[in-house]
Amino acid sequence: MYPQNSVRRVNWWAMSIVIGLVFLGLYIFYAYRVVQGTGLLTITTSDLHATITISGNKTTAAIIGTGNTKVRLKPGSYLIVAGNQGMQASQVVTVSKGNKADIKLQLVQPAVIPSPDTVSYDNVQTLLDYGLNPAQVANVKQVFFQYKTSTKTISIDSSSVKQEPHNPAGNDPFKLDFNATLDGTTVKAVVVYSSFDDIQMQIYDPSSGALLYSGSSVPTGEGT
Amino acid sequence: MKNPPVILSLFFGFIVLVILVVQSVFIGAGTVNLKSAPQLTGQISQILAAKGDGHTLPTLGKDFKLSGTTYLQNSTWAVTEISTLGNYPNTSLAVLQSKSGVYQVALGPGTTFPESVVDNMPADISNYLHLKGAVYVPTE
Repeated sequence: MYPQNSVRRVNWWAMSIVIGLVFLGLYIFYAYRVVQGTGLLTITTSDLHATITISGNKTTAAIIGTGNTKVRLKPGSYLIVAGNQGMQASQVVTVSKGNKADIKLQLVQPAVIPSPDTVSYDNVQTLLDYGLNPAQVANVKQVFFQYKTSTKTISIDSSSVKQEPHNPAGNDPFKLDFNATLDGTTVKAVVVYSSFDDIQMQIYDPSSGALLYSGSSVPTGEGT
Repeated sequence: MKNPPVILSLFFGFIVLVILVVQSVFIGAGTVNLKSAPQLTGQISQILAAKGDGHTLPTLGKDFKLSGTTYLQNSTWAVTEISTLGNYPNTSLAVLQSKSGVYQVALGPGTTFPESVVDNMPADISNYLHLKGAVYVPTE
């Protein structure tokens, strides 16, 4: 019995080794296929905390690392974007089979083009509380910006917001009055609306009552 | 066979070592597979992430949607309307330029752009943005 058990035990060892070798061979074959079918992209950035993202043609985007990273990619062109705390850098890179590509991204503060989105607003929530919907509030911001495109901060005086009386039986539009301070200059605004999107807005000098600007929203996509 | 368990342990240790060496030296890095998505999805997601906290990527259909995408100049340029979803939805425009087959944001996202910037773009793009009412002349 003992010699037979010994042979069986040796067979188990031999089978384990064969299985291990087969597994190793398959893994090396897999690694070879990966290396031959992809390219290696090395990305270094000037900011070790920068989040690095990637996207391709007709693909989703993915986060691939922070600071410096390496990835294997199928052949093609990719947009690499690195960003941290408002600083950004981006580059289009082309990856080919079996090759390596290195890119270095220097994060910079992107040029800010003035727009309603770059203006800082205080107490804008008050307008929502008084019944304007988010689209109408966006249009209020747009008209303020049209009035003075260099404005950096707009502060709405919450205590001054007033809904004008409205006759529900009539066709009169709704009216909302409030004072706002644009970079230190106070103005009076009157928002007139009768639909969910469009607004008319007049901006007055609060001391003289003179009309400074009258504007209306131009919903994106409808043109002028 | 002398002390087979030790020999077998050494053998499998060797296999693990070879795998680690192949992984780190031969392959060098993990493979990234990006999912298919409509044109511009990934690039808009990246630019929205960069404008936000930068650490999460907005998802098409969940965080934003794209509409009215227009391709100009033999599809080397594209203008798309981005609507962010959620409690405070916002709509803006982005202008993208194709470089080596992948689009990159050239202008925006924003609701309006200064005339001096827009008029430096190809005429088709400039005209399109003017038609959209997305151009302003700075007041000061």
